[in-house]
Amino acid sequence: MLPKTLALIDDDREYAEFLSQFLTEQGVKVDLFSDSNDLLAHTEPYRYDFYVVDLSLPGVDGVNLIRVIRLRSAVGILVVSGQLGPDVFTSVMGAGADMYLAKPVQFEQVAMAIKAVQRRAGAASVGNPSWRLDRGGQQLLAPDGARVDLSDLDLAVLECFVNANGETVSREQLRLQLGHGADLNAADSLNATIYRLRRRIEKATPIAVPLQSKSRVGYVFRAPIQPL
Amino acid sequence: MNLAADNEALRRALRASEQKLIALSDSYPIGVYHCDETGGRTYTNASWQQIFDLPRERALGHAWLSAVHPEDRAEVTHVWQAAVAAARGFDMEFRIVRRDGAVRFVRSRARPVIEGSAAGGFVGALEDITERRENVERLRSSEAFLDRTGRLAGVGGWQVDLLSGSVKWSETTCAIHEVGADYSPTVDDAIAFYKPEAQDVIRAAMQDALRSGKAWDLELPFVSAKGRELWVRAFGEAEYVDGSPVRLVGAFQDISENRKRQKEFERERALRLNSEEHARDLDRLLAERDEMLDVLAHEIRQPLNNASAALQSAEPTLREAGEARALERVSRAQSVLAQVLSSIDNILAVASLLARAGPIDQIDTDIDTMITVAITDLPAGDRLRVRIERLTPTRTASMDMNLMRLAMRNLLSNALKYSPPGTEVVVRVSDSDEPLALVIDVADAGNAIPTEVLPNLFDRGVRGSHAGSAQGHGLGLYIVRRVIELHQGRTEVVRNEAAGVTFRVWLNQSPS
Repeated sequence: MLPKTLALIDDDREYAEFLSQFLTEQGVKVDLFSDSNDLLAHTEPYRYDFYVVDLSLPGVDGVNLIRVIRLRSAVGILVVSGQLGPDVFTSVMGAGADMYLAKPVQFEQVAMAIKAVQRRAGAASVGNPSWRLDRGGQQLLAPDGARVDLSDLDLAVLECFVNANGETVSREQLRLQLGHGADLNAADSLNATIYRLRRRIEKATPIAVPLQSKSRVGYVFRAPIQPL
Repeated sequence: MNLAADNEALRRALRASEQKLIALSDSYPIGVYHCDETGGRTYTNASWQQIFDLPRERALGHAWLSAVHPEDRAEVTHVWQAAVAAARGFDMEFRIVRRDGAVRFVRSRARPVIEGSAAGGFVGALEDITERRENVERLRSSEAFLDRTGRLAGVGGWQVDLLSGSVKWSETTCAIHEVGADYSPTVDDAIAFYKPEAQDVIRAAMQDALRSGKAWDLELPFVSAKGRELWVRAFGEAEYVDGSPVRLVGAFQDISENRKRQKEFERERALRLNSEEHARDLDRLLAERDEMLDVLAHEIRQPLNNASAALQSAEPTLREAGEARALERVSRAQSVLAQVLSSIDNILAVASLLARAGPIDQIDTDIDTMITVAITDLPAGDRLRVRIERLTPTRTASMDMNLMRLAMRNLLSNALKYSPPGTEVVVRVSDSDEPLALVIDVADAGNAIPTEVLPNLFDRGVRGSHAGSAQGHGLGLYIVRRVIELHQGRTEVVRNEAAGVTFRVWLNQSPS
């Protein structure tokens, strides 16, 4: 699903106008800003359902703009930029963007990326039925009723997220939690444990899995999760 | 004239003369005395009394002997008796102790007054030489001090007396020359220690100093008596008395170590400057290169992309208007642009993105989005030839989406290019547990890759040998390999048959 409203911040007018036209044809209400200051000076700069941001911008630069938006809004932020350099990706994701799509891009590609971000964000939106943890049966119940069998380790990981109540759980916390009594050895890293767990959930249900990594920080379960 | 009157006149004249003599003697700064043959003073002047610190009334007779320092008294008595016995003069130094306890050094010189054949007494002069002795003592100790510091600092001294032509070297100077401390050279001997090419230099410096009073300070090569080659620093200047040079004095130091260190330091410095210069050159070249890449990215790639966007937005209009032929041409133009763009992308990727040493940041990425975006990078006509086959419902994997998009695009272009037109290229997504990885296969219906190409297939600059496939820079599979390497994964050919080729990449999901 594409968002209803979208702010497109890009100083390449030609590209931005074509993209804006394309997205408008898909039913999105697009506001185009060629200078990031124009967005910040707008009457309601943080009310958009989605942001598509370029990095080299007149005014506040892209990375800082993302930071500003992220402090005030949880909606999807997609970076579409032609900036080279190996550190760009890291700084953009660190600032709070959801995805980075390298230019040059075609409009369908932008639309695909927006949809992918929306799917993930959708899992987190309020009002969704909760995920439930069946401790006795050692299972995770997806909102659609699908049941996922859990290993002892999986159960320990999910307990962390129940306790975190939607907050990010740092890698350190997770390691500490799993180190006690769990069979987490050196060969089976935290990444691997999370990957296996998510893969198992994805096999059980088509619903987007809210278990997301926060670049270099830890993991977050971006949906309500409660014990049964 | 009568005799008495004459006598009287004579006596008066004598007294006057005596008075004059006494007055003269008293004004004399040196002690003057007369004594009989027993040493008893029969006359002393004011200076004598002052030196001995004896009042006039005690200045006669033998009182003076009790003022002589007890340790010197025996010696003084002995010299005195010897002088009387031989009727000859003496010259001695001894100490006296004043009434306030102060000790003074005095020099007493006397000669006998000969009466007949025996010494009838002595006239003598007495000098207080305390200050002079102290000065000499001070001088001696300061010379010793200089000599000691000179030895410690490796600095020797020397002097040439121009009147006598004698040359004096300090101990350290001798040590540097590696000759005995008693060595006594001539000026020419001293100069001969310098290396031949330095001898004229030092000679000229000496002459210059004598003529114009200019000091010298030279660093010269030198050979010691034992044949050791050294570098020495020679300082020197002329000393003048009444406008004429009387002495050359100077210092002398072995600086071989300093010089060696200095040389090494200079060499290191030169090397450092050189490499800094190099680094600056390289920096400049890199900056230039980055600038050119930036131009390529923003002033060429992006406008081309915009042109492609314009064509793309024209397509629906043309389709609606039923302009089938125009539509076909537009999509051919699109296809050309897509190829140019992906070429530029590859060049930029190799020059910039893949040049890093790693590791890269990987984040949760939607696998289908990555693959579909990569397929959309292909010319529109080719996209339809690609089919995605999912052997696993896994939807999320950790990766750098843009690098993977680049790798996928290259795998797909490669497969499309080397397989018969219209044949299918399959992207197959599967899971692996050992190792824990996402596995992506790209399978085509092309001919087998020649076995001789296989070992270097993923190297830079290796191109396919198919007829009519000469375009490209051999970057495609190299990029694939590098991207997967940065993900700590593996790239391989798992099927190589006449019926088709399959490439496989392993995207490691438990990276260290």
